Amino acid sequence: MTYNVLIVDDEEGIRMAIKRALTNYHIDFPFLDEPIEINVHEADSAEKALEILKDTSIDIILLDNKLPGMQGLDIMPYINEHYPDIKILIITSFASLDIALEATKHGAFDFIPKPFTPGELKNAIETATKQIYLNNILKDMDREARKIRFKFLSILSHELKTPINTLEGYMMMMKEKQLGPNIDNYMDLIDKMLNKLDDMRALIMDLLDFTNLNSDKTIGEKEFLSLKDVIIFCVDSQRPLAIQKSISFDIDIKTSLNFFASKNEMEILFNNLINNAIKYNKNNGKVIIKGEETDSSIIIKIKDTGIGIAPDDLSKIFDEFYRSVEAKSRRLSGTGLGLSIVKRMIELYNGTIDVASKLNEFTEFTIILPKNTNTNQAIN
Amino acid sequence: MEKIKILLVDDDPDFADQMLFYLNKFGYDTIYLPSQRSAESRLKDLHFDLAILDLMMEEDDSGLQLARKIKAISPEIPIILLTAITNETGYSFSQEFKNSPELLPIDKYCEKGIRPDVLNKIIEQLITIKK
Repeated sequence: MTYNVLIVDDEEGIRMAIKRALTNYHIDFPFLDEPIEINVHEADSAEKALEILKDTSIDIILLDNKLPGMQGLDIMPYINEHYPDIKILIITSFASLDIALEATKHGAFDFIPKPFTPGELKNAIETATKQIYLNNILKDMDREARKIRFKFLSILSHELKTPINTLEGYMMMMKEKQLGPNIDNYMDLIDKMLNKLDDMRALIMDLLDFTNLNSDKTIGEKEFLSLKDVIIFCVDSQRPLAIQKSISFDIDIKTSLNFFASKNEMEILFNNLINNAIKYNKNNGKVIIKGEETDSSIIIKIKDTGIGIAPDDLSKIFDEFYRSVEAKSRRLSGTGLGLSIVKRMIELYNGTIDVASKLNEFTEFTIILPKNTNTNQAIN
Repeated sequence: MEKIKILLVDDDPDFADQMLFYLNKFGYDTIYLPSQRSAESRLKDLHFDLAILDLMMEEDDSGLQLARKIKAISPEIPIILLTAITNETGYSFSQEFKNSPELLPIDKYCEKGIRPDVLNKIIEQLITIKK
């Protein structure tokens, strides 16, 4: 990475001295992959400086105030307006310190009093460089965040449009009486339409959870609660679904797993995982839940004996709207948001979630929630 | 006369359902596969006269990847790419395709909302050209 420095001074001696000080000088911060090189440009007047600015991208200007034609202070407003990212360092003698102060008021980044040592010069350049570098990173982050938001919205619109297109297609088939005049012929089709509507409702519910999560607000008050109780509550509420597929539960949690958290959030978390363990299971399968705790953390494992996840899909299952090929091709309904909600929820509590799976055999999620977060420590 | 056989690859089972219904109604034989992966693994032993591929499946460009592989094996097989991309992103794929059709390994590009009878006309055209 190279930053361009422009020296604007009518005294050749000063320009030479600065150039000498900055030749082979590079700036290295611990957070940089490679040092920043400095490339020096020169101008002997304000007019010449403006010309250079037109076709060279300059990062820092070392600007002498006393120049033959236009003064340094005169061109500052112009530079600030047209090249707002350039950092200007005013060079001025001690005698005219008031000018330096004036310049700072007009947007100079810093001033270097004359006479200066090469060390002082380098210090000033280093500070300006750091500032520019951090500004650039902030700009990149902002751009990145906007890109992610855009991507989320375009996927969301896809997820909302697809079921509408499906419903429209089925309705057209009905309208054109593609299956004949008898309404009984359309029952299968109507069931599919009702399923699509269920999917859309689930998507909207998940979206609500998801936007709540991203607003950084806790859903419900945090309290001291037993995760064992929460898990058993979730299992009980999903038993009807399990019974339909003759799935049995095998729960092995020895302690109460006390944790300071929002009950609502913990229910969303475990409901999602237990629901997946049932939905992606085989008939007559099992859901195995284990919980244990150490001094520092709570470890919960939720395992199913289901269809599993292909290795290619494993890394993507926590992405928003991602649904495994297996899940889609088996027509298992789902929004593709459940696991990303789960992951964000766990991250809110500084925990981790890992997944292991074998296609057609099992999927196991391992959640580790640290007890020593500030809030939990305060309670314990 | 033997029936024309069409390969359909699409990861939306409901959309595929509707497509298969119309294709069968128009008198075609159909083979349906729900993903790029499943299609690739069987490509060598499948026999078909025309392929209809969804663009976005496992990857954003699954349909194009698959099209390239089909053309590598049998360049004479016509391929129709179906997507809903314009509706969602405002990005007009058809324009891109009109400007430089030789860059894409497909013969025709259609939006997913296409009317079944229009799609049938396109299929008939492509099959006739092929003959």
